Amino acid sequence: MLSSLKTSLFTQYAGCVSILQSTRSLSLMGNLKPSYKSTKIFKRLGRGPSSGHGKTSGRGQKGQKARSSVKSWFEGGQTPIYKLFPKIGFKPFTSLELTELNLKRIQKFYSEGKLQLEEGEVLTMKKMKEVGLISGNIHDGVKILGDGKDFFKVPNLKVEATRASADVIEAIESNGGEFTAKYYNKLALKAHLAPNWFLKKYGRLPLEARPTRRKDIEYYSREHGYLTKQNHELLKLKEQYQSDFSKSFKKRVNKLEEQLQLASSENNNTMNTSHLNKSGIISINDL
Amino acid sequence: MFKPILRAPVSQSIRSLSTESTKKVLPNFTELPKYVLSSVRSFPSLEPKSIIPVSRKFINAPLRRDILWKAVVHEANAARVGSSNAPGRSENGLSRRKVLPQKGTGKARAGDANSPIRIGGGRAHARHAPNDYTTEIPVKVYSSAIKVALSDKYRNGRLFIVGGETPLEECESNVTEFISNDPLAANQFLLKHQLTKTNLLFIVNEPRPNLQDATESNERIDIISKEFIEVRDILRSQYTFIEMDALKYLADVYGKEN
Repeated sequence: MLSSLKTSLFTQYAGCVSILQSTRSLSLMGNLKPSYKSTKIFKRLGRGPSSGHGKTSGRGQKGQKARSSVKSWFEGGQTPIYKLFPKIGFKPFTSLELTELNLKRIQKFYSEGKLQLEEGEVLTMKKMKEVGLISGNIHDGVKILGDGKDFFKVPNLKVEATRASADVIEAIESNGGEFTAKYYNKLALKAHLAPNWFLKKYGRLPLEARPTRRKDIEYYSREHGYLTKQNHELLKLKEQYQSDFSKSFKKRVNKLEEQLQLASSENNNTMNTSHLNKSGIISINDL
Repeated sequence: MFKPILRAPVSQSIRSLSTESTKKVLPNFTELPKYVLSSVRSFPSLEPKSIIPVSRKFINAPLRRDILWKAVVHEANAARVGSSNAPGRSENGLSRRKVLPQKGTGKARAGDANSPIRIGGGRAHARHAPNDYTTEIPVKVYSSAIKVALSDKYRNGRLFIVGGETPLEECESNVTEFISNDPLAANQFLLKHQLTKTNLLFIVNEPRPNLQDATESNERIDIISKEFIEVRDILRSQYTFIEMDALKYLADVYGKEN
């Protein structure tokens, strides 16, 4: 078998000059070096006088800087600037840190062919990150802004984000698209952006939290809110709560009135009977 | 005396700015070809079967030794496994008792016996095996290094693309695979092409058992799957044989233009 292999493999090409021997070259491995001045060797301090960084190790003679370091914000004993003035302003802790995305960028990605959605696919925040519309971290969500709204011509684009300005919604809808504002808390946002992380760790995705603040509930139950579009249970709860609240408010007024009436009637009664019990005098009418 | 005005008046030059197209090209400008041609060969005869166009930026990128250096250093760092497992001053095991009184002995101040400055003390900046020496490299730089390494092989005629739809003959193959797993097959291949004392690299798309078995005793031959290819492997080899599908895979992973 081997002899037949020997003949069959190479007899046909035997005798010709090998194509592999036509060129010669040096190996690159031994001739590699970094680009000029891109690397440097670190200073070895305190390794003897011949090193040039012995004795005082480049720290000079005596003083705080020779022994330890002086804080970079130390102003020589003068009252530092951060102590000199009172604190002003505040951090609005309820406001969201939203990543901004302009229509201009969506349009650019679309015309460059980078934004390729399947039919019926929604441009969610996850998709935005995958495509590269948004780079970096998304902290609390995405707000779509209207720069480039006049030149926005992406047809039938369905977008889902935290918020969008009014003219953005108009621009998207005039091209046959749709915008949905959706609420995400921190956990839900993480689950939305990185579902694999949850699946790997817990084997399931966490339930999406519903908005709890009145401001949020009102925002997401508007025309473009996801509560309205999904006909969410929270809407019914909201309506029920509102009607209950108004009823209970009325009842309370009634109760007050009732109590007043009761009190007044009781007063009348007691007025009649109290003197009857205390004094032993009985009038002719009572009998 | 009359001096000729060599430069056009400012008003004229400004006027021309608005009328002429902004994309002005130098007179002898020629655009480089987008693709270079490479022959697709049969194996083991290495007879050319057809010619394919491959992106110039992928297979004929200019030589950049600094980029190769970065990738090679990155790979070498990643390959290092240190076993330094010396105890630090907290793990050294000696007592935390102060060895001398603070004052009055006439000796230098001293804390406990675990101090790195003392004999029998712990190691300063102690590490724990296995030590991690990995360094990071930007993805684009690494991709570029793969391209540069392949391009160097291509330019020197040392990159052989094995592929094609049908084998030339019965004993031939369109992948880097022998018909037998006998070492004789490998030896004949090496003798035929005068490759007996050269370093070879086979970049394979799938495991090739015959190639593996036949070349097992030869230390100069590396067979590496497309996913695990490193810049160092390509540079170490004198001749690189790559399967068509593996080349497509590398082009897909590393060849994207950003």
